[in-house]
Amino acid sequence: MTDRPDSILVVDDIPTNIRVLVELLSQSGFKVAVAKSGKNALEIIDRHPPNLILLDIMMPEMDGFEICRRLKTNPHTQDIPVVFMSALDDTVDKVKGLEIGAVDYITKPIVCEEALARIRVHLQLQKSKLRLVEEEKMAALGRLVAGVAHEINTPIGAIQASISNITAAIQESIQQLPQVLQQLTSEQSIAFFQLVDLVRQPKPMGSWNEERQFKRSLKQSLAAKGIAEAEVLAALLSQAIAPSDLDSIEAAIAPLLETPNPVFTVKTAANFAIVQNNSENIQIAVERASKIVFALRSYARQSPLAEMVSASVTDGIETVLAIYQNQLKRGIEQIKNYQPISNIPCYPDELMQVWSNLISNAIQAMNYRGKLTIAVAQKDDRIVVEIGDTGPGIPPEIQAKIFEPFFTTKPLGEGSGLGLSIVRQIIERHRGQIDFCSQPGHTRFSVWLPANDKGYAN
Amino acid sequence: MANKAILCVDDEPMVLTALRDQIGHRFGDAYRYELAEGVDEAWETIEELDREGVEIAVIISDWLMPGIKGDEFLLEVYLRFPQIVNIMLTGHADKVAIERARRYANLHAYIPKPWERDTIIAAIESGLEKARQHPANEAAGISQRQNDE
Repeated sequence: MTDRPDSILVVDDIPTNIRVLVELLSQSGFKVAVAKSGKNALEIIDRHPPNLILLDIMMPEMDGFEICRRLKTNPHTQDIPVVFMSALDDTVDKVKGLEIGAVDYITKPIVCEEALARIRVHLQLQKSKLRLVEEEKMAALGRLVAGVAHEINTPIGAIQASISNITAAIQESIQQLPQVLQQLTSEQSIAFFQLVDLVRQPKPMGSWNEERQFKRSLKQSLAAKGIAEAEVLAALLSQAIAPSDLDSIEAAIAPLLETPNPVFTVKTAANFAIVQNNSENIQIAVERASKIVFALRSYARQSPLAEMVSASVTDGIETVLAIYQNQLKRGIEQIKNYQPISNIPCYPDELMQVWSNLISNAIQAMNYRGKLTIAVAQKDDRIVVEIGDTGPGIPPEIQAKIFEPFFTTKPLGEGSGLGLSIVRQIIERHRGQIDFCSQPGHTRFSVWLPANDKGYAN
Repeated sequence: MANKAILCVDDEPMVLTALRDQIGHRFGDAYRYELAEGVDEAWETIEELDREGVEIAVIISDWLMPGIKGDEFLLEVYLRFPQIVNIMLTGHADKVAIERARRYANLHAYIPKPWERDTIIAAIESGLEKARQHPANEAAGISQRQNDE
């Protein structure tokens, strides 16, 4: 934290009280601001949020309770600790103040040592709380890093290998082309370059079975025509050309089979397929790596006090899924049911933390095997996101506690127990709701969020 | 003709094609190069090659794949085909899994992604050299030669 003095806003309408408090707090090293009315206080807090607010209850126009209520329903100010100042004997007010979100009260007339001690305790608690929230964020990020290493290393590996293949193919071509071309008649030259064109056509990746069948039929067909080296030729051609009509391929290479060394000739042409295929490989790998990096950047960018922006909930969920891809693919079937929904006003980074927490909990609950169901839908003026897993369920005896801060089922050091409590905080900041139903084999968390900004009007 | 194969198993087609071209450039016509996008496909390929009398010399497998992890797959391979050289090529594997594969699946080499061409070629060559001295392979080699004749 910084060495700057903590700032405290004193809200009171009685000059004597203000004077006592300002003097006491300034002498104790705090930066003090004063508001003489509720309206004035809200303006100051909006412009310069203090570290703590000392709030008088009895004030004309807007009383302390109303000010506190407004602060607690505004996402920008709800985390600032509020300490009420009340008359010594007014128990009703003290309880009411605490109920609407104040952290403490001090009694008037002010007892200096006690007031200072309470203020210091609450400033310290607030700092500890912020630090824990930050640590939870870092722990979540740490869990992601191992998975991200795999996700990034795979495309980098493919790029590196593809480059070595392209370099090798070009080097070979430079050596072999003059030899090959020297041996060809003009008719064979035409066929050779036609084959080069053919192998440079994009070839879909991934249907290895089909490619194997293609190679086999090509080999049989060539062997049936009495062509020696049928297998080597079939291997070369099946790797270079997408499975297609055997007759046209045989017609294309027929003139080349009359050359002194048909395999060498075809291989030289097939080298261009290696350049082509590996270039496409690099393109795919680069896109993959960029997608991961983009996902991480969106994840790490956190600006809690920024304005809400209009963003797609579905995109946020997809970004989180991209980050967790490697954990999901071990043995988790993903079932997505996304209905088209409009963008909603939100803090996209914070919502991503919500999805990340719920998805990560689901994966861990299922021990990496099972079905992850994600549904997004719009119901009237609310968006509902449902995240379901087929894990063993949340035991009934702990269901009431899972949103409590520091509650965790994970071993010491693996989770702070703040994950779901932060999830709920974030959702409440969005004026949303979260609940869940759980039984063995089926747990579902539902998150409701307002679909438009009506709910956010002050 | 090539009656030996090198099988690459990875859930990423981009890794498979790059690997095939890389290995193919070094070993040329001496081997068939087979690709499988997952463990199920790998077993289909293994059965198919076995039926055709093609001997699999080397399997290069990723660790983190849908359904089953590379070390479990390589262990099964080792139990059924102990003469096959096992190599793990992966972006992420936990140390316990590698150790398990070394101990129980006779893992010849573990190569992290991204990999150098020379590293994977050297691992295949040293694996093949080791396999040549494997008693099961000497016997298999003789029976194979007899089949050829």
